Amino acid sequence: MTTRSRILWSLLLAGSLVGCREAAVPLPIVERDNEVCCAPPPDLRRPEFPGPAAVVELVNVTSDRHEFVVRGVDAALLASLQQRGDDTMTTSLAVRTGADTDLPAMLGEHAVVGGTLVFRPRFPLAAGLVYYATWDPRTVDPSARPVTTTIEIPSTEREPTARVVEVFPSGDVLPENLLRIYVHFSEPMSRGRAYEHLHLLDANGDEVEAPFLELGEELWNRDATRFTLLLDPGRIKRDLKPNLEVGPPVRAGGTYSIVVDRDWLDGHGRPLVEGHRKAFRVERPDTVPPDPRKWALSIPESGGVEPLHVTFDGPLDRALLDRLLTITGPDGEPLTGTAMVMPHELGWQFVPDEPWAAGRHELIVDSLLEDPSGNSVGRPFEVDLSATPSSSEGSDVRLPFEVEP
Amino acid sequence: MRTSLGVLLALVTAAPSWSADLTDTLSKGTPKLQSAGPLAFGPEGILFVSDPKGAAIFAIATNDTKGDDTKAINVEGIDAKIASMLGTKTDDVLINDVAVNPASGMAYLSVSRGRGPDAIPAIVRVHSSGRPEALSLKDMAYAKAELPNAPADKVSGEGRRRRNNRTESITDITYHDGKLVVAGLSNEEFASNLRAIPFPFEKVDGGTAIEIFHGAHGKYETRSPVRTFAMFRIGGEPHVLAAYTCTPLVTIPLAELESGKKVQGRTVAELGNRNRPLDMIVYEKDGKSFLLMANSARGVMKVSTDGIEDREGITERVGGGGKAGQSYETIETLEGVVQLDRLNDRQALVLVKTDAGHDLRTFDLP
Repeated sequence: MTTRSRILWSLLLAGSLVGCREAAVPLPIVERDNEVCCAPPPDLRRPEFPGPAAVVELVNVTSDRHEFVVRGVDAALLASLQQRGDDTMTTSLAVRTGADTDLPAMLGEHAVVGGTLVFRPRFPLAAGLVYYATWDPRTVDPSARPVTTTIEIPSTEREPTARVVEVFPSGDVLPENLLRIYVHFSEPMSRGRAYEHLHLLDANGDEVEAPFLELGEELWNRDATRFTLLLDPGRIKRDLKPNLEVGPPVRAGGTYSIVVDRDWLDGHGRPLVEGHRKAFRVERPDTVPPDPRKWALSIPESGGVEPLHVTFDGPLDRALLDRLLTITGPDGEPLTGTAMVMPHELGWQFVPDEPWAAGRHELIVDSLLEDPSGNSVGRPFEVDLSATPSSSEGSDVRLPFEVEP
Repeated sequence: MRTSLGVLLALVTAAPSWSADLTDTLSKGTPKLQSAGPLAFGPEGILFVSDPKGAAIFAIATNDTKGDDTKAINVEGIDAKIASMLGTKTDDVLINDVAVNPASGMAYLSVSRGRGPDAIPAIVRVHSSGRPEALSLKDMAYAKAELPNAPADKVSGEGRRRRNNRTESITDITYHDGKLVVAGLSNEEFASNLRAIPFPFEKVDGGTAIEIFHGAHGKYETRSPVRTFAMFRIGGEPHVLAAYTCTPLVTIPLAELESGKKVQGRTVAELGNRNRPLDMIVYEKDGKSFLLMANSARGVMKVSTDGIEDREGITERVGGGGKAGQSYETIETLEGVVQLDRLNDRQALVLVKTDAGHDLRTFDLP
């Protein structure tokens, strides 16, 4: 310890005797922590003593990559650190997300670069968070003084832009055994709290208790813009205990609302521009599977690109309509084109990329296609075994149509 | 999730001799996870990580094969610690699953750093010292099984066209005797499947997906997603003991999953409204086997397996609020449990949600 340090420490101790409850036994400096009683009030942004001292700074490498750099380190000390290797460098410069030095240090890489010690975090720093960078080379220099610098990354105060674009089924009257709802957002959303932000309200505006199937995994599409919300199948399926105890989440004759809270955060951590409410009436359960043989097709003429128009026998599942209908041409190959779902999911139209050829075409309906109550082609959601023999699933249905020359 | 090895070993005289070489079937490289969901351990410290976003399952040799599983793991604010390690807010750390490595007693956590679509996956492990460390995936011996609905999957031939756009969530995985059983749930059609994927993974065989059905009182048959399950021997045969999302507890012989035929679980208990099983393990106490289930609404439930092999399956409606099937009791002192795994023969490890965040706690199996 230098003479100057000793003098200053003695003054400190002398001053500390006045208000300090600890015994006035001078402790070696290595045992002292810079936040313990009797240390000067921490002003974490500047060193305690005048003279050369290390300072930790944050440097922007790119807009979302930062480095922590320790400046003002004695060259010999730096060389010593580098020689000792990674573990020593890691303990000498540790960055945490709290003041507690028991918190694990951030993952990243250390290097000695251009006369400074640099720490590159493995992940981008989080906006709005305060980081605690501790420079503590005492394993190499026991007389060194640890310094903790707090660095705040400003929040990105951008205005909310995300909103609910649509909720499916889009109709106003839904069946009592409604199984599935899709909520579409304009931007990728955050996950993990979905069920806190979704509510089913009855006609009085009271929340229906526990109407949804809550899955920790949550059901999202690939870019996190569509959330699949299932109503509790235990309450919908007949004869299961929840159905017998409390009944289905919605009841025929009633009116309800699905409410999406504004404070559901988007992928950037901002709330929605506004919440969303979809009101609907409820009618009797739908237990009839979709039957493509009852669909109406309006067939276009050959040589043009007029749409093929299909009218269903009831509303169908919005997401499955994007996947499970295929048109094949006279050669049996699927046609490419643009498909559109009609309002209330009551129909579908297809505009081919190439003009319609004359001849036999087919609309192939995958048997997995469901309606919003989970009835699929050829198989109702609940197969009543006393009435029909059990079958695993229906087969695909092929609807042939002729495009006239 | 740990398999019910304790139960199995009691009945099986010797493990297959090839099991010591499972690590040799893996190749060195850096597995590229797009997400980290349900976990399971195989023998030799091999960790199975499901990657729902990448529609794949990874088998990774952790080289963590020695340790003391009798040491309790208690870590307050495990999410805050992981957040510091990952350099983010505690709120932006999602712990997706917890599994204990039976070879070492170390707890492994699958974590998402961030809640947005660009969240970064991580595997973090911690033992009784309470200091978490990130598992580096660089230069690990590993293998990858792609699930059939992987993004690169092409439309092919007749029948099931356009399956490739669908996303499937993975709700649970468990390893048993050369097979990895995976429970999946579509985010579109109301379909669920169980797959039994042979391990070592054979090329890109994602296993045959078997649709699972339920018959309410033998009368109404529906498709039934599986939320969580454990392996259990009944009459000497391995069974999947599964909790459906619609709440019944059922058993399915593992052999049936490989037959390719339609599978309907045999109902052994009907849980009432608001029972949301999140996780389950099988354990032994006083010579009997029990099922322990973490339940979001009701704490932790201890289910007896007495007579489970004899039970015909619940086929009659039970009136007046009676409990049919296996009896169970609720351990209400264990509230807020979101993840559960076995630590050793006498203790379990849970992840508990508190007002401040999440804690890892060890408790004695009831």
